[in-house]
Amino acid sequence: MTTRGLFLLSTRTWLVVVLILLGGHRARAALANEYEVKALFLFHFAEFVTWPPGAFRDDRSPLVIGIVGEDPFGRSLDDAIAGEMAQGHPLVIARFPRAQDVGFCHILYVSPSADGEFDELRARLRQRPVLTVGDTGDFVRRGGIIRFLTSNSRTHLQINLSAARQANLIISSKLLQAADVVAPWKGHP
Amino acid sequence: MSVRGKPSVIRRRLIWVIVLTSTVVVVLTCSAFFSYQVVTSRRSMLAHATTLARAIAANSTAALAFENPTDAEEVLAAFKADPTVEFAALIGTDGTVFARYPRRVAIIVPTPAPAEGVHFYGRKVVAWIPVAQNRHLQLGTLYFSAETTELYDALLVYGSVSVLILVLAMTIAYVIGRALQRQISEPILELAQVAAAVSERQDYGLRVATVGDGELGQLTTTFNDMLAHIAEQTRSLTISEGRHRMLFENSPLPMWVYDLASRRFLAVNAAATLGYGYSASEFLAMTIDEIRPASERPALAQDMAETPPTGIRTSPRLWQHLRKDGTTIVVEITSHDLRFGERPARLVLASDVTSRVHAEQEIRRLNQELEERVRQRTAQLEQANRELEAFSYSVSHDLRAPLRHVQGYVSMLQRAVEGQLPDRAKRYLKTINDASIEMGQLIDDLLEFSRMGRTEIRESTVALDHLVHECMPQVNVGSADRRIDWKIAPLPVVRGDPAMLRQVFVNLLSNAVKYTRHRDPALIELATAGTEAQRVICFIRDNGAGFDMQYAHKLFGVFQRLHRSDEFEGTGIGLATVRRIIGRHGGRIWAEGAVDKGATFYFTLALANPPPPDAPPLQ
Repeated sequence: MTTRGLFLLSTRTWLVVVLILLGGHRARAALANEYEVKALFLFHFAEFVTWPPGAFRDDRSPLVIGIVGEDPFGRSLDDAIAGEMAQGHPLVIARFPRAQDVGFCHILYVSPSADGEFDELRARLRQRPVLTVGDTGDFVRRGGIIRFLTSNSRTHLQINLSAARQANLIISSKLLQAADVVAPWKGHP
Repeated sequence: MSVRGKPSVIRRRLIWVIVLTSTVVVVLTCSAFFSYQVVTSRRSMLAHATTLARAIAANSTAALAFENPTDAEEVLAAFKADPTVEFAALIGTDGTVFARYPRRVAIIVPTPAPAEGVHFYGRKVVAWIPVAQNRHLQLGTLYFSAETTELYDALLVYGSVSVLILVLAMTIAYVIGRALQRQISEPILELAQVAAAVSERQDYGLRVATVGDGELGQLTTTFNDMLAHIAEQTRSLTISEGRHRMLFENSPLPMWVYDLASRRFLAVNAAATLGYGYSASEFLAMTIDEIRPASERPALAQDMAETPPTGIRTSPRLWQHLRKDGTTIVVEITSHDLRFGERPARLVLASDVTSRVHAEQEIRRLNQELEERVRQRTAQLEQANRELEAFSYSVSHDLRAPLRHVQGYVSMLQRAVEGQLPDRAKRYLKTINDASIEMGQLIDDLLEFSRMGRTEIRESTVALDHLVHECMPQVNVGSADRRIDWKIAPLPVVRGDPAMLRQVFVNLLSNAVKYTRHRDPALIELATAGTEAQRVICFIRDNGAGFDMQYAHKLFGVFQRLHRSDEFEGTGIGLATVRRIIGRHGGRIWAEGAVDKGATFYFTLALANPPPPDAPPLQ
């Protein structure tokens, strides 16, 4: 459309366009906010979970937050952990494109894109002290430890305690209190 | 018991002291405890609140971290346990209230934010606690406010109890004080009473009942001793005063006391009233100026102005005083400064010496008269002497002439009628001749005597040995046929007129020769016999006829003879002359003798070289 053509549009049309643009922005903003919160939560998990002794080489070795699959956080996670420490350990992010790329980490966020590989991932991570975090609805029932549940633009948490136990992870009661403890499906940890 | 019916000051004071002390103590104690209570209550409130806040803050980390308001509210619900908590809130990092307790309470987040921690804000406890899971990531803030009414209620109760205790304590203190103060106040009150009675009635016989040992006992004992002492002193003083009064009143000499400042008479005795003619009351209305004549007043003023020496003193000069009848008397003043009552005063003794003064004046006058008379008499005597001497000289001289005629014509007659006269006539002529010779001798002696009186002494040094030696020829005239033992000792050198002294020795030695005529041998001694008042004593001793000591006083008189002229010739002037000469030389002459036992004539002469006073006397 030519510039003239734009001017030719009626005011009502302009209004709709602006609203749509704004709404889209808001939606994008809301979307951005959600992942900022999740990034913050991921960071906070590091404070409320106790890893077994062998999980860290020493008191100063970094706590690795891994992301498997598409990274939805953008810069949020990097911003959240920038310059911070958790339980005395510096925080680093490790990005793994596919399940088979997952290396050493303490927290692993399973991106929705990698959700299909989760079972396989779980088998590989069996009894390794990794806090698995996910978004999908049956994440914790399938053996994930913490799931982000977003409703009414609030992000709630679901936690699978037995999965945590299996991973030798101790979750602080405070975190448990702030979350819903959910039992896994039969046959799943 | 009180002094004169007025409430006792000391009792009140003692009770007041006890009550006040107790009150102060109780007040202080209660205040201390009260303050302590307040402080500890507040502190414990803060501590409690802090504990609560910290616990809840710790519990709310997850709720804040994971943005779970429900969970957060549940956590805050724990505040229900503390009924004092008004409200509580968890405030997110964005400043909004994340969760609140109670559920629907309105929370106003204070701006600016309060100080971190738990503090008192007015009457509330306010907590502002940061919530953080790890040290440096703050998730939010716990904010709550609690009331402190409970605390203040408790304090109020405590205060009321304290006041009650205080009142109780004061009452008890009062009761106990009242009972105990008696131990101190009673003796003191009694002491005060007795002291007042003593002072009022001057009764020193009163005493205070003693109260055993301690300071009060000592006080009462000492007080009693003092009273006894004062009583004793007063008695002695009264007696002494009485005696002094008596002495003063009965003194035969006028005495008075006058005030030094006003010069008024303060006291006079009977002798003063008699001596001056004023009565005692008249005296006491006068000053000391009024008993003096006007002429004396300046001298009095000056004397008063001078500072007198201390003690009893007699005035160096005599004063004139005026009696009532106007007559003046002369007095000698003896005075003594003292205190009469409270005033400085002077005690005076006035001795009337008028008659003595007059007597002295009379004596002086008489003395002067006497001296005048003596002077006159002496002049007269000297005049008479001079006339007598002149007369003697002229008479003697004039007598000589006719005598020469007589002697001349007698010898001429003798020659003219030699051989023609009968023996009787020859005897008559001889007698006339002898008599005229004697007369001539007498006249010569008289002339000599008068000359001795008139001529001046020519004083010089005379060696007596030499003088005597020169006299001997003249002395020995007519004694060639006699045996005379001369015993002449060494004689000193004297001061005197050589001619006169020669006359002395001639006279005395001649006398000795004469009056030893009937002795064979005649013993004549001439020597010295010591000194008398620095003059040498010479003597001439003979063993001749001597004299009766009864008539010694006549020896040296003019024309005095103790022997008849037919026994021993002589005119009787010789010794008078000697005495005159010796007298004019300042010496004295005296004689000792006995009838037929000889005589010794002593006389003194001034030595030319007098010996020092303590030298042994010349022998």
